[in-house]
Amino acid sequence: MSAPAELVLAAGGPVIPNFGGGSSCVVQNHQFCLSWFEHNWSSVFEPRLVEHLELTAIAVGVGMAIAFTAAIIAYKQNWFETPFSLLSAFLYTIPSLALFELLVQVTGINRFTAEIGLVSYTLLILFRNTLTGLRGVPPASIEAAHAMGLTPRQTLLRVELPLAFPAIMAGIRIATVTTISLATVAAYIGAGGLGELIFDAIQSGFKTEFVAAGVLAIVLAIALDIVLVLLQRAITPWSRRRLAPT
Amino acid sequence: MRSSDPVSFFLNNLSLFGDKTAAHVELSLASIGVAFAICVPLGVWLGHLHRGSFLAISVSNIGRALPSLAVISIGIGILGIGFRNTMVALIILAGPVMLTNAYVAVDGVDQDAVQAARAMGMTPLSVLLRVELPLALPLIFAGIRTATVYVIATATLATFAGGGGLGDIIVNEPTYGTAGVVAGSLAIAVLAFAFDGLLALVQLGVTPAPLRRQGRRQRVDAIVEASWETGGRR
Amino acid sequence: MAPIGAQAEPATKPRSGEKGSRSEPAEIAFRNVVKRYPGRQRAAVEDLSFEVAPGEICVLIGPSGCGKTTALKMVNRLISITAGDITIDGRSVRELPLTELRRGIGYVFQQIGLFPHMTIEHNIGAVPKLLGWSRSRIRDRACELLELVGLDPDSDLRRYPGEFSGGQQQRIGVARAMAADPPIMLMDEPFGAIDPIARERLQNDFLRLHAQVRKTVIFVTHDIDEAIKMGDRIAIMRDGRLVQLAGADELLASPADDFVASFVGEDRGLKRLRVRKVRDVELDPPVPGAGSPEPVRLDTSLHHALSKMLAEGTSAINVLDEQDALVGSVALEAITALIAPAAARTDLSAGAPDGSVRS
Repeated sequence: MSAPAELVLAAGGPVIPNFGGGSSCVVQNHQFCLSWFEHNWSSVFEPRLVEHLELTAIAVGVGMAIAFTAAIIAYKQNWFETPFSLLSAFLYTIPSLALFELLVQVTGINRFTAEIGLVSYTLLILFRNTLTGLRGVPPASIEAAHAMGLTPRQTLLRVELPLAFPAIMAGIRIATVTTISLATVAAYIGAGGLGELIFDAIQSGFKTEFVAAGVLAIVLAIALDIVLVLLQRAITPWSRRRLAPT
Repeated sequence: MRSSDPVSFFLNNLSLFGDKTAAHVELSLASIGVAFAICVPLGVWLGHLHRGSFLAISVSNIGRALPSLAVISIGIGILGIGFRNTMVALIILAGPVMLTNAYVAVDGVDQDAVQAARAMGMTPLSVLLRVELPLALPLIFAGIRTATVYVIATATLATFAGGGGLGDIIVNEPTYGTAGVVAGSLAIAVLAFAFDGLLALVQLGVTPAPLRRQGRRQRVDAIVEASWETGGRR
Repeated sequence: MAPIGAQAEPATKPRSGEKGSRSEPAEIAFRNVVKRYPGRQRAAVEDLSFEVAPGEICVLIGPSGCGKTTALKMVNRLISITAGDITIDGRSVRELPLTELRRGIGYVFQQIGLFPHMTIEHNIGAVPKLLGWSRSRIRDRACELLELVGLDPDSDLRRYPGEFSGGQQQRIGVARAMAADPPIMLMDEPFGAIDPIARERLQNDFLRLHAQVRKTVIFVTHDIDEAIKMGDRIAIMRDGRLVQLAGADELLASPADDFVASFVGEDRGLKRLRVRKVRDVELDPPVPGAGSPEPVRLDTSLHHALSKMLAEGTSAINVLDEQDALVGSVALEAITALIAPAAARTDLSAGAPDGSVRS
């Protein structure tokens, strides 16, 4: 793939995806052509958006399954924390494009490879937040639970995990938003999603596509962040009710 | 020049790697520098006044949510390609973390110390420079460190916007071959780790000795806390 | 296996209160209990033996490190027993399955430990839920208990702990401990973190509650005044051993050794006045006319009576009974005679009908 610097806007206009109807805005390659965007929403943008959501959901879901289990193990067996932290921090520090390219050498150019990379990036924050949340549970509540005759498992399910939930949720929010960002890069190795539109635009130089894909990704990220915040508030009513000032 | 394994590729193309790394670091540091110049003083000032908490948190939330490639993509669409334009995108990505950390750091300085300083007759500027900033420095620096490592990593994508850097090698398989791509990927990973490690050492140097023991866990907890809803927490 | 409180009790046990409690209180016995931590020279608890009668409040008190909290926590095995045994109604706590043991014991402690993420109703219902009670039964019980501890069921059931003050939270803590009607309660400095005014109200309310509900209580405190106020009997501990176990008045009147004497305070004589009442003293005939200030009652503490006499500068004060009839007067000399050591008593009582005092 040639570097974008080599793209030249020839006198006849850039090579635009020909979806029919070259309005003047498109032909002159203005920064954003609304009509083109609206016209091509369901054929171009919507499928990629859905794909992007799928990528993200799978990555966060799998990442949560792994990190959550690891955090519970680390909560009960302290020694486990350091090795898992180091591993997930190591994975997290590798720049995304580099990680994806390295993985490709092993598992090929496909969605599965992308998912492996995306899952790796979620591990650190999900693990850290879950563990911190569990450790932040008030010791008095745990003592009361034990004194009442709750078994360790009951204490974990009914007291510790619910109280750790705000931290866990914060982690899921950060992981989701980060994954959306990384998933755009993952398109480079064939994962699809909104990133694919960006890479198409890099080929064609079509500005509207750059702007539209970018804005959609940002909107998606912020929208999901808000949804998760609202979800968290709905599930944890106690964290917002405070003692009324007297 | 093609070679069959990454290490020999690297060794055979030292000047290439040298040039690309230099460009990469130059782009990163320039962006960080500008973002620092704009956001850190702003954050420090707002924190000193204890104003704008909503702004700081919103900026933090939105900034954290921005997909990096998307910002670069919009940058290409609006500003076109090239070093300067890529810088704009990176500044936008680096800014929020530094702004928020600077704000939280200065806003959260122990108010007892500040009151004692004022009672001693220090001017507000003195209080800021001699009491608040030194105490806030570790967290401010944590923000700089996070932002720097983030920008170094994201600058890999600058290749798509004509910004140069090690990304050029990674995306150019036709020219450099598989070995080249792998070598480039490893190089950028090593670069990221190197900066992270270097800044960790600097951070240790910048943290006053009594606060050092709190270390890693406390800092992560601080970041975790800063990301929580203010809700039921203080 | 039925939980501890559900056994049939012999008729000699004191009757449990009708409101708030339907189970019989249990007897707790410590038999040569020892707690030793590895690597430590002195045992935390050494050869501790005593009994707490059913329905009694027994206070454990002593300087820090004396082992009082350790002893308490061995009853519900939050701390394991090294040697010896603790029995509840004759059944060893070491043999009972842990969860069954703990579900039959109410535990209240200084940090309160309400579950922040559960409503008050669910907090109180925590143990009943474990025991399989129905939701409506739990709700009724929660309402009943909230009223007993002085809160308002209508508004408070659906609230969360974070919405209440410390004193209110501990009231809820007490309600939660009593929810499954356990025959015994363990209280570890329950009012220690509460401000003094709220604390006094909590103490009074708890005593009133206990008079109705009559559970066996072991209460740990480091405050001698609280111990005197709350305890039917007080166990003073030191360095892991029991030094003296006695009712408040006996402890104050006859401390077993110098340590106890200094622990209860130099002013133990005056402290006794808080424990004893006007009815404990031989009354003189009423003092008519203007010389006598406002009367006291038979159940007024001697401390209060003495305060009034000192404030008015008189040496006698009239006494009324429950029907507001004048029954006599109490004299300064009678009060001082009560707290004087036995030897000196004969001097002070010179001139009185006889030197004895009713106890």
